Amino acid sequence: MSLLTEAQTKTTAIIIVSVVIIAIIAGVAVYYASQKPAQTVTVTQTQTVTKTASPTTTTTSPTKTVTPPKIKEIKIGLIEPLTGAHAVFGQEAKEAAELIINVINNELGGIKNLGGAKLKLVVADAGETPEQAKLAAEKLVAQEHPPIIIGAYISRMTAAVAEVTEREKIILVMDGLVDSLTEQGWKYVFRVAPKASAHGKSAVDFVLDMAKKKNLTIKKAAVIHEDSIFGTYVAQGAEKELAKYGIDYIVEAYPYDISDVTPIVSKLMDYNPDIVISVPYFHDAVLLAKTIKEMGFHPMFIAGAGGCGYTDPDSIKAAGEAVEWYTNTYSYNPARPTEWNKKIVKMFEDKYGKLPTEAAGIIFYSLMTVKEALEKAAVLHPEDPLNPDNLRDAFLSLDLTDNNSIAAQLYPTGHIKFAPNGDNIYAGTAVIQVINGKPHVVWPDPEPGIQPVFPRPDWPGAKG
Amino acid sequence: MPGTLSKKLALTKERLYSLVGLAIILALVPVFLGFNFYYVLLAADVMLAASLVAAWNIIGGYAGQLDLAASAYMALGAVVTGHLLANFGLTPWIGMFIGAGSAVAVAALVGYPTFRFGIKEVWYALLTSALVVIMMRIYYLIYGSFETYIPHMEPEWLYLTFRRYEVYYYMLAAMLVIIIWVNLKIKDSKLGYYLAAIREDELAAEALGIDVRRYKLYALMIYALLAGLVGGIYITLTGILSFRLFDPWLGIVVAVMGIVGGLGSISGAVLSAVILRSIEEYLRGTIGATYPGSHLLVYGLIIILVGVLKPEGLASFIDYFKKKITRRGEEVG
Repeated sequence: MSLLTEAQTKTTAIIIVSVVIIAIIAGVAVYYASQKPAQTVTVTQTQTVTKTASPTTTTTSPTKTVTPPKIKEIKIGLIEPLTGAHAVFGQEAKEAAELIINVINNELGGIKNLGGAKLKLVVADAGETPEQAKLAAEKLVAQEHPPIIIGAYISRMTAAVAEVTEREKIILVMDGLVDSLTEQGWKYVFRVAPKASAHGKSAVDFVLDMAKKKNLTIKKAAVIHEDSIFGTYVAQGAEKELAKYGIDYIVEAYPYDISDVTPIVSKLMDYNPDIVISVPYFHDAVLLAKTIKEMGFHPMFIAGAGGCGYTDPDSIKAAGEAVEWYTNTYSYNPARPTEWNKKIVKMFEDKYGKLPTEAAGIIFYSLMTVKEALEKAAVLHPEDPLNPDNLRDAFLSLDLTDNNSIAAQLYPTGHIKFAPNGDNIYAGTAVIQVINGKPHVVWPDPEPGIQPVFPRPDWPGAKG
Repeated sequence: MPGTLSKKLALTKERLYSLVGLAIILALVPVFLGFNFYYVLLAADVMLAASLVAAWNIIGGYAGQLDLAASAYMALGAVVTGHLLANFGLTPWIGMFIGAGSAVAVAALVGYPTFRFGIKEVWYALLTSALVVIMMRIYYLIYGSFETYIPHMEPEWLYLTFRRYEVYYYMLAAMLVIIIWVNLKIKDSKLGYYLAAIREDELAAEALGIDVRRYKLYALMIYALLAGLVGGIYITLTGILSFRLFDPWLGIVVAVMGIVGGLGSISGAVLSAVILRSIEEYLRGTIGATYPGSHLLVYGLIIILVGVLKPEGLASFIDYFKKKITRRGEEVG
């Protein structure tokens, strides 16, 4: 027995020794690694850097290069959820990016101010979790090191990617809409798309604008939303806007997979608001619309916000007449009557056989904004246009409108200008309304021949 | 008697040498990877999976309970450590142990009545997978759907907010070695023999006078402690706190890896986690973007192949080679 216990004390000793070994080697290794600049490590990279002028190499070694680097090809990274629960959005974003890259390279002749440099799309799958997104970002950075990355649709995955791009000083153009992403003090992030709260704000603005036109006053409102992070931020945007105009309101949150909304509708009927701002997911939108119809609740108007449910073809099919006159806000307006928007939408339809939705639309204008920023960087900083700080400078100095850019023509408000935190100052959404069972864009630029229906014709006050 | 004892001693010695060897190999991995950020992060991720599977081996392998709540204990350790850091500025070096402590408390709270009322087999699996969802909802009730991002804090050593991944890798590697050691220690102890008896035949074990409930509870608590500690390190690596950390899918993946590795075999469990996780990520990185989803297909195929060809798990491969080597050694000697 004594032998065995002796062995066991030895076990403990050797375990401590092995952990100490790890610690010592770790210490030496980390010290050694941190002495070296991070980028020299990848051997493969030296081969891929043709004349792409990797930003870090130029910053760390400002040697004898006096002549501006000749750039033939600029890599643009795209990190999207291509597998898992959010793959639908990621796939569409990838399709859209391929289309736009093709348009820029072939129809627009690349980046003109950089001697027609072509863009090259490098794609990575962000998967389903933050660590998968982080791995994807690290892989893209290690193997391609693009100066600009676009991604990653889902907020927590975008945050994971942003940690990598911030460290590497890579510009991240975010297509995740949750507000907090631009509130982290990150320096190299930009977001063209309207953030979640802008959706809520737009829904309220639309209703108030219409009420003003029809000489109606709104005193009481109700905000109901599904309680995901996105839905909550959208609702907060709406609440803030309602408070600004001194309108009384109640807020009601529910889980998106709710199976019975009767209590919520009863509560609404008790409160009897003039308008309802609803932030649904998909299934709950159908449920809400049907229940509201069945229970005979007739407010002045019901406006959706957040781009999910009510007005998409599937919801109209599922809810039928119940969603008539419902509206929703969208980050992209496929019906915006500008030259390039019509063209891109048609190209997308021809190529993929479907209408572009939000996921594609955000990529359309984000990528076109990237192009404008690159053009601008070439003018402002001809000596080193792909340096991250110069790129950031170029992004901040952009002021894009319908007249001077394609990017703005694709954007719902037709105006793109960045605030220092990376958000678009002129962010806004389009409002789509179901009229006679078909979705139509009604605000701010209505489709030709379409007038928004406001107030709801079944509202008791509408007749008198 | 002395003969068997010295043989046993030789065996433990052999084990210890392999453990030290493993430690040295693990320590050198980042050097071989050239400190490339991507590969080191991937290695850290593999270590994470291996640690979880090795911890699971205690309850799943030794005690034979199909536990699907690995992510519940890990995430609890993670969110406690993370929120203590993000909201109160408490260093993860302490937070980690508080997190692991709460994981043990939950394990005791859930485990005691579970084992008291003799819930086993599929019912135990269902109960544990429900535990993940219940804890997710509790977190949701407190923090809602909002995400907390842990900011970069100085000094890095105190708050473990490094911009590189080597330190996380080494912490997880050290954690893995410690967990393997705990496994070995349990295997050799009275607890290990009791657990093996329980795994083979619970009724028979009880008839022999083993306090089945108590030892199952011990196994569960040790497993929760280790998973909680792993969670504490994990959260300093990702830095994103949300209710989605309580991921039922992860709990299943850990159990699958443990089963593919071979129940009760520590080397099999670690090997299967390392192989499966690396293959999954390699496939996702190479073909995941071009042919989305194909990596899952290949991954699933590998698991099916192992299941059909070697239902005893990877451990049987290891035993096979071990036998071959020792036999050859005997012939030569």
